[in-house]
Amino acid sequence: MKGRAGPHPLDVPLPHDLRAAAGRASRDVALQQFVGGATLHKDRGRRETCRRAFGERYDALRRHAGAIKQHTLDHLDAYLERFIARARESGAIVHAAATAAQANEVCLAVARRHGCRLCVKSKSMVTEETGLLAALETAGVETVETDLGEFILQLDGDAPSHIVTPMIHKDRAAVGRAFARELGVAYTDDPRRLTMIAREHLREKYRRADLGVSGGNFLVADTGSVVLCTNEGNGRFCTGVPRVHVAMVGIEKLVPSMEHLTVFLKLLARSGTAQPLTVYTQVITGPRRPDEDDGPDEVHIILVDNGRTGLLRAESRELLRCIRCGACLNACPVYRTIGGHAYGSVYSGPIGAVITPALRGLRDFAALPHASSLCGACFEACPVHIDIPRHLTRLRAQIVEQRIAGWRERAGMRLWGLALRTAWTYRLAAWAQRLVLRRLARRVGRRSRDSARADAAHRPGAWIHAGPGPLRAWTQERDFPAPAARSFRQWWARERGHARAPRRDIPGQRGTPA
Amino acid sequence: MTRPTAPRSDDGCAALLARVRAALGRDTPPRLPDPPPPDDALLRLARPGDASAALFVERAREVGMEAETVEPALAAGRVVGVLREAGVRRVALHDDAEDHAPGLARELAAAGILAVERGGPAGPRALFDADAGVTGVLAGVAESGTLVCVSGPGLSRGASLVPPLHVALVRESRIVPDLLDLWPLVRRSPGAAAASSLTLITGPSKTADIEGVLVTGVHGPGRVRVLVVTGS
Repeated sequence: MKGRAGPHPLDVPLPHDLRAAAGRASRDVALQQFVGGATLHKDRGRRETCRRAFGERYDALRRHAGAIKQHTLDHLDAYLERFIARARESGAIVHAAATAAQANEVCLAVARRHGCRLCVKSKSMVTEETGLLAALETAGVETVETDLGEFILQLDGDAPSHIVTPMIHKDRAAVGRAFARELGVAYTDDPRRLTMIAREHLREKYRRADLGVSGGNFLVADTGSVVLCTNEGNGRFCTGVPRVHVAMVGIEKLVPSMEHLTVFLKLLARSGTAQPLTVYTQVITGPRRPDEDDGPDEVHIILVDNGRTGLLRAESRELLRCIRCGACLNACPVYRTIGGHAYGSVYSGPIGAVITPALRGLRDFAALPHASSLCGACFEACPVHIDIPRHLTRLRAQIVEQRIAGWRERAGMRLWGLALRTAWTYRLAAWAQRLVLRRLARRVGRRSRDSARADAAHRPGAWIHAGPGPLRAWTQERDFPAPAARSFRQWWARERGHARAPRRDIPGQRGTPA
Repeated sequence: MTRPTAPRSDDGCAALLARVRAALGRDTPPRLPDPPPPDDALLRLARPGDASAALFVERAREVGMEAETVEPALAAGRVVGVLREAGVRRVALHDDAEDHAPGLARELAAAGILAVERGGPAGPRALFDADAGVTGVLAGVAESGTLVCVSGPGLSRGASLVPPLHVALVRESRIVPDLLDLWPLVRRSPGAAAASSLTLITGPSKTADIEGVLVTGVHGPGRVRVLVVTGS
């Protein structure tokens, strides 16, 4: 099956123009409804499920899970070595690929050697990363995505926009149209009937397929096993029916033992979809044994680097803890507004904003670390305790240090730094800023666009709606508030006597924001 | 079965290990310290004292399976009753089903329900003709309502996956309280520790990909009937 012609949503020109992509997304009301509604629902489900299961223990558990992953990454060489040895003992054939192209080439070589014609594939982020589907199709191996969401995206020539729920940006009518057009069935938008149409279509593919491709949620070092977590069961078909199974897995997926696997199984589905476990958790250890009725004759495991050893440096190592549960996407106010495609990469949301620049180059994806208000919701949602906001600010600093940021931004930041150095420069800067902004507000200010606002904010000149120079980037999207008539410092000096008097907290009274 | 050994000198593994070591800032493999042990106090969600069978049935229902308990002498009859109710004519049968429900083969034959051919030239594809899969399971996990299936001789992977109905027989004595308690049992069970496939099943096959609407039976069975055989 060939996807529809047209540009692939993630085939973005580089450097990636996040501002333009986010602008398009924020004008797409339907997209915002689907993504906003679905993510809010998932975020609430995660909170409730985790609280019900773990209660007060939850935060300590996240740290514990993070510590186990961190230990595994700190000794990744030893665990990889053990995994490779045990997987070989079980009869699997292990390969390692340095790049996406190499990983695809290994898979194609396996397909060629067995003369494979039809491949059934289960959902896998790493194969999205390497573009395996296109590589197989180009080599003449018909390849079918079997996860329902991915199947629909393939019919539509579209790309996933969420790690766990790939077609979160589409509604039932779009699915109905795609099925009518591509599968020649009568139009329906009933989710149950659409699902059953896909079931019948894919059963025929499973029956005939001679190659199954999967990713892997975990690799168990002690046993050499690949662990797959799915709800639909397509992963079990892909790894059980065809005579050859190829699992393409990132090197960061290792856990020491089955007992350690339990820690992550207890967190993964609860964080991703508010389930205790995914419906199917399959532990695959080598090919079928000679006395078994089914299972593949050959199992290949391709360990994929593709930039991951670059992230293994001490400063970014904890990012490799990620178990791809998608909780940070659902929790993120920016992701909820712009959806996944705007990030211009397979990995979107907060975790995408930190790993995409690391995997694909900070210069091309310099806007991503800014796609966050640093509110910390992602950190709070992460089941393996990755401090995503810290990495966002770290990357922002690198953007300035490596002179990726424009000279205006750097000059502005330098001035800001100078202003903050001493009290008098700060006062001077604040005075100058108020002077300029208030003058500007008198010239181009206007009432609030929101008539329901309080009187003070509603008066003419309270908002600047067309700022010059660097302020334009802000006022293009929203109004900028004009400074109050009195600054906080002036107010403080009058209310509390002298501003330089020793600080005392006055019980029962709180400061007023300037 | 062919099992060609791939050339190992150029499979990329040595180069990968070298890159990983360089990134970690060392030349030689370190002595591997013990990993932090999983913390039982943080992880455990069901204790050994918990009434396992009752909890298992309750949780299995919560995740969308139809679960009930049955006495050993009545188990085979109940399986056939469930199959008849669903209009089943051909089943994919695991060898261990008979051990869980003595007399099952006889009752199936009496009811005119046939077992699909196994291990024939059609391989796993013969399972596509079955209306139901009937299997024993290695264990049940009470806390999550999970069935634990392992592959092996006479225990096909597909019986619990390909037909639209899965009837699973669980011995009460094989219900563990928590997933943490499963692995010691797996290691004790002959064949299970080295099985090519071990599957935890927690509910019927399901998807919510289209607008978040839950639909069961997307690829695997839409119905899972669980019979807990008491006192066995």
